[in-house]
Amino acid sequence: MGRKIALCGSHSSSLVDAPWTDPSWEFWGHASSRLYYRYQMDRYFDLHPPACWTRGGKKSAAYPKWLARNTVPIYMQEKYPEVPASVAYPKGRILLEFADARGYFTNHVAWMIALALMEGVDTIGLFGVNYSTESEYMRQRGSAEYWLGRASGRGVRVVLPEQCTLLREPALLYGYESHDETTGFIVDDYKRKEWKPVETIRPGTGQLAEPPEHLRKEIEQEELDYPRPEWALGPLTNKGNGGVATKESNVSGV
Amino acid sequence: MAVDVLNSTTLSAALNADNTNFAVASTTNISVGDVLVVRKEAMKVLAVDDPASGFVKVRRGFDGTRAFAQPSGQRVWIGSPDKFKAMKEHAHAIVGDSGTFPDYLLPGQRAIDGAGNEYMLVELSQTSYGGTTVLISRDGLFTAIPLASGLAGSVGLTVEAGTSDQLVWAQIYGLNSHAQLVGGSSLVTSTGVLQPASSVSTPAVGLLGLTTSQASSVTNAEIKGMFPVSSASTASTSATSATGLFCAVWLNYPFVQRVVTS
Repeated sequence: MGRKIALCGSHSSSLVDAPWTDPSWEFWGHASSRLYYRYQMDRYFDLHPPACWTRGGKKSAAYPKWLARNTVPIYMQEKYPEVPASVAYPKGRILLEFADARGYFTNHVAWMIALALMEGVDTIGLFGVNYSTESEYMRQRGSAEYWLGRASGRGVRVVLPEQCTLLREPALLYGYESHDETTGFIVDDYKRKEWKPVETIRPGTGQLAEPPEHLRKEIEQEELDYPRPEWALGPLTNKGNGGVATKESNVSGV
Repeated sequence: MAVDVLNSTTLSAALNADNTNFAVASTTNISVGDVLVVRKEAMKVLAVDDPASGFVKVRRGFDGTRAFAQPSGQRVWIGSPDKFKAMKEHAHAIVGDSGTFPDYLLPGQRAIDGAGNEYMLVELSQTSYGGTTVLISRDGLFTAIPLASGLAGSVGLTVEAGTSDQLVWAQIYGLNSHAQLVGGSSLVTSTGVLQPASSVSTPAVGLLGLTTSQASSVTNAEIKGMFPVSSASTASTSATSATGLFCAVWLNYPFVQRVVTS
């Protein structure tokens, strides 16, 4: 059976499938995602510099207080006196161990997998980790997939929940299945995916057309004389728009 | 070509991000394998009436979306994966191939074509031809009916034909060269005004064009944000277009204020 480590993020869709009640798994997770976890982790990680975890910020003002009283080992850049349970992450040893590899560490999962490989592991599962779609997380996806590949290449069994899109997106085989056999155009699965349920689709430049010259003054005057009611549709950029939601990125990771 | 509407129901209770079994107002149109879309989250249906009638079992945060807490009463859009795919293909045909289409288009989706015209996906409540001026509902369902005298709300101009319970795109901004007019008057010009139709044509096209002097004597609300930019022309007669008149219009997110009668 060997050693099994579940690396946990905060993406809710696959975090729910983590083997929470199976004692054969160890659980490692990001400290700032701790409230997403059903139980206390066996190890926490926060490899951000102190400026990130002392200022509150996106991790809330409660985070430094939690760090001060937490007793679970938490891997950080150094051992910090204000974080009694902190453990210095063995960055030097990791880079030496994997000197043959590129220093491709663009997320916590990469550092966590590397540490697991150095310590010895038979199964790695990723739960609540997706690095999907936009923002910084998209840029971090490649490194997570790279280190999963390193693990798999060492014979480690990699467990990914169905909801996790790492190592399977696009799922179609490039060349053999990626292009329409009739038109030769690339298929949808290979196009950039976005989740914008009720936001404007903007092909090309996405710029709105200008009104005809002779109408501009008339339009301006009408907008002055008859202010647009709150319930009326209008441009997305400056008013309510009939139930159109504000864009919210669909991303999470560690 | 229009696509059939999505069925919908509502959540019977609030959900947290982990709930995978929950009650909806009706499971009548839900089948295993369907996708439920609630706000920004897609869910895959694993079982229906599980554990009890009215309950569904789902996989939350399906297809790269994220599971969110959802409020009670929230609209749940129901469709098969093929249905959502057809809606996406349909959108490509209307506004062009941008390569960045969302996977799940819902009524109310907005889109801008390459020429800078903006559209909204609406659900027809009755058979309509392209060029029909419609009133778009404000209840979150985005249903559309031909505009008529006495109605108030946001207005669009359909750019394709469809029947009741089909989804079509309605233009809400930009130039449209074929706004159909109720037959009988050719007096509208580029200096005229546009009003909701005061009589129902067959099919209903929703729009009445008048000269400014005519408009001053008609006790009917003017459509704000909709301007004729040509004189009326006689519409062609065919199976897919009305017999009557049409003109070109400029749309600036048109709306009709509620008519106040003394």
